Amino acid sequence: MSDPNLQNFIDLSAVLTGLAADLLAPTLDPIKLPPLFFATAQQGMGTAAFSNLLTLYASIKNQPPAQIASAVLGNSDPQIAQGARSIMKLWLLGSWYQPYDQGTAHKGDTRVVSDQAYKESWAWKIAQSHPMGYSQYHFGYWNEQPPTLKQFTGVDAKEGQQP
Amino acid sequence: MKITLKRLACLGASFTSALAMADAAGPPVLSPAIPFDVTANPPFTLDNLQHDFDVLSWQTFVALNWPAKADGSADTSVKIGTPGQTVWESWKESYAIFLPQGQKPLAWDQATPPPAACQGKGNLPVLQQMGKVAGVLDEFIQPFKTGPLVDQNGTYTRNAIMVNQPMFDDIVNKGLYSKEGQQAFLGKADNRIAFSCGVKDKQVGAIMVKSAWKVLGGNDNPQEFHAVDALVYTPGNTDPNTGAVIPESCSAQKVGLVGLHIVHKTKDAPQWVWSTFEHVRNVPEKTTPMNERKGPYLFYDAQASDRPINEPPARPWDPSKKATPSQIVREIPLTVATHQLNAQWQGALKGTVWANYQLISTQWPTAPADDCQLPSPTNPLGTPAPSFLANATLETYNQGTTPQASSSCMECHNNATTRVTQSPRTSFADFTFLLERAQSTGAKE
Repeated sequence: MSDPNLQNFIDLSAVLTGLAADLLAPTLDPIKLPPLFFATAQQGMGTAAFSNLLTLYASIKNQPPAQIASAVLGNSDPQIAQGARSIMKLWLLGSWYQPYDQGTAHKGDTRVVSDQAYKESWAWKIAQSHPMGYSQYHFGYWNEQPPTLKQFTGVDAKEGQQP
Repeated sequence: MKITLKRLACLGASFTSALAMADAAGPPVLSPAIPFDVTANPPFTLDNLQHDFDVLSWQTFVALNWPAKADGSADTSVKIGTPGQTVWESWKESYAIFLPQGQKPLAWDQATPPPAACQGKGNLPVLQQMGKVAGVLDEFIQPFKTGPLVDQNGTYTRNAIMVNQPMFDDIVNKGLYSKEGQQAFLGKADNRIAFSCGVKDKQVGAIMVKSAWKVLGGNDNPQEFHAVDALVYTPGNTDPNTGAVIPESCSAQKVGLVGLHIVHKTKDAPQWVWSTFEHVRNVPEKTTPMNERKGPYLFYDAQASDRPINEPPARPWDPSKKATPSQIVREIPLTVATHQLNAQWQGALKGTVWANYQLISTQWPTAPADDCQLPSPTNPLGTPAPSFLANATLETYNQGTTPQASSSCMECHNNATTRVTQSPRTSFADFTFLLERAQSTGAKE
């Protein structure tokens, strides 16, 4: 990743979602969602607020993830805090939820970023499932136990949860 | 599992030395040896690996189009371009594998009798399919679902599917040529359909070749094509609901190759490597300005640019009659890198008919499973690159970039099933629709 801003965006996204950066942005990535999501967030938040968010992240990126999340999501600048939440939703749902009025966009506006963004969004994998209207699993998969959460996300299920 | 840099580094080193073939970065070497797998060269970026897989495609194209000896092996005493049957043309066609009543196919080296209408018309290959109908069991007898492709002479294009001996042996030895044979094989709890991914330095993995041919006539110059004499067979149809009512027919024709899919299963591509080639004069690209669409093209009329593009012919489709020529453009242009690679290989093939063919692209898995015989539970597709790929002669009417609608070799063939759809294990057909053609022996279960 040659663009440090894009790398910071991916690393920040990893902290916010709990998913590894190399899952969000694989080394070999024919789908190329990270630059699309970067541009989407930059446009949605506005260049200045987006830059402030990345600058903040760059200054604290060596801290533990929980502290970074707290500093971002609890930030006194509402554009940083709300913009970060929209970035989380962007990765999880493939849609941009406009966090505040910005340009011609109004708070609450929602749009699916692209067909691939919808198809590859992470909520489906976290649910150990697949997007509505799209599945790559083989005929009859619905009658079998799904792969584990760890197989999908690299994250262990918590005690008492479906493995 | 992702392709790891370490793993690729190992692969690159081993295959480069083992095959003694052209280095991916070096000039093309025309060799009759079918490569076992990709030769990956660092740094392992997406673009570099695409190049390496494209080189694999060209190497395989050259090896498979090498002139064959009587036993079907490459005749290393002659050069590519020498007239005669090529290696892949000696392989088994699907109609010779999936027989009526689920009969056992004849041995690899035994020729299958042609349809009755073709008998007595010469010992020639038989072409009978007219349209690609992925997933439809009766493609064999009702090949009219997605639409035929019509050349500028008004004649339907024909297709054929061949498999190599490792794949044929897998089908025969496991009894997969009949519905009951598939049930018996998959009735054993640990069995699953998994064609050979090859044994490095010893045997290539399973390979399928799908070819598209046009009948040569009108202004066609046979010297510009890989041209063969073939029996063009049209099954009869008595049901007006499934197409034009026509009698069975068969005639000997000179046909020219216009499209070629090569699908190769390797250790590093459990989702197979999907290489697709076309004749250079097939179609213009969608982005080619009108005033630069000189042609003449085989499936596009530059003088009729007001006609709708990429539309199937009006029904009923009747291959026995002349039809309005198709007006086809390529939706996804070739990349600059592919153009450059094509120029190198076409240069090496200069003076042969094979210089008139071009690679469209190669689809390969960026995240293959660890075990080439066992799909990844969470990503059985392996994240193909490029995401979409179509051959203008074989996926004519579903080119584009819309998931689930546009042509992606792996996406489509991942849906292929056996005739035993009881569970994911028994239904998965390892990326081939061929097994859906297995017919029932009629034996009671």
